[in-house]
Amino acid sequence: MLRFEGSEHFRQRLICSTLSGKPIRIDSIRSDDENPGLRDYEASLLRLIEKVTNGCIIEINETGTSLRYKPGFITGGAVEHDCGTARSIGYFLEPLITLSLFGRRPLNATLRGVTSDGTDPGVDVWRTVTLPLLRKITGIEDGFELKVVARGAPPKGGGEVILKIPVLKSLPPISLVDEGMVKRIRGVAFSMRVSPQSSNRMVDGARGVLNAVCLVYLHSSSFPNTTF
Amino acid sequence: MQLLADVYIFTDHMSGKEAGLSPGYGITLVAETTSGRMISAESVAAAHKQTSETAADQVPEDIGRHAAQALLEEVRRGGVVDGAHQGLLLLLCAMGPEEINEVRLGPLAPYAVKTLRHVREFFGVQFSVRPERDSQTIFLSCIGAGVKNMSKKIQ
Repeated sequence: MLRFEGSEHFRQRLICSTLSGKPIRIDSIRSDDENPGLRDYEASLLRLIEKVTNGCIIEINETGTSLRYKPGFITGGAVEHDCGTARSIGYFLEPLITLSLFGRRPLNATLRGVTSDGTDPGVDVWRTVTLPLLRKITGIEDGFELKVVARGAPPKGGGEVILKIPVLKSLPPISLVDEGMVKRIRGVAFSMRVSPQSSNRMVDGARGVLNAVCLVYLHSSSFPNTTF
Repeated sequence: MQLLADVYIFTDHMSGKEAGLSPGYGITLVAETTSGRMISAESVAAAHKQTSETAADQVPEDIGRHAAQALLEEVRRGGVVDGAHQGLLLLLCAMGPEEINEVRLGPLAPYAVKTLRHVREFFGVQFSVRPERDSQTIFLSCIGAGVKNMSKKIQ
């Protein structure tokens, strides 16, 4: 059994334990804190893992400062989860996506909570960057999907996403060594329950910075082949 | 470099039930490269956490500016993914087949450094980490642990 201390890297330890089949024990979880033990969102993550696996054993001591986790099999399938509002849905997406690739059935998850809070990657990052990266890495074109049914800002949330992840037998070899050069910039400016002008104003702010860069590149003498 | 003039940011204003329960706004930017890589950065207004120090930050233009600056910084750092994705990418490399899995990253985020430790502890995978002076990037490679899906139905 692998032993760890402290609350840091909680998610990745659980993912690695589940994917390697090695049970873990984590002690001294915020034991010196005024508010010791697991946080609500960590407990919520454990509940989510229970929903997508079969046969895992989770033991938590009275104060929540010590946890034993024996992983089960990853089942995937249809799942619904209320992520709460302390952390955004993005906090739950990384472990969920990584585990689901190695599940018995493709994942079809409905997650509710906060869609973007600036701490964990927001739903747009997962949808436009992470899922395409996974399509590229796994070689699986169909099956990855993230639909934003409703957005939800902190503190109350109220957002909802539907996530679909396919299963694979094993990963193909990865070779990603060429960043290339930036050819275009895309983005989403989202707003909820505020003036619709907010989105346009954010775009103005962003363009102000990006246009200046374009000008620098366009006029730079180090790019003699520039045509404009 | 006329290509950098291709900037399009979609505005998504939600209303009604699709707008959730609290006011908020934010912006996600993605730089797409000639090799098909995508680098992202975002900035979200934290109205609920507003203090007198952060009040200045909450103007939408500032949120947009902040995201654009963060994006340029991520691009400047280099690598085939941004800082937020380094950990996931390294984990997938470590779980890959028992042959060379290789990636180029910018300076490693703390989460990525910890990932290197975890994959050694759980999967016995040791990455070779080679900083490259010229490109200011880091070339990482490993022999994967060959993780197989034990749960998938046997077809």
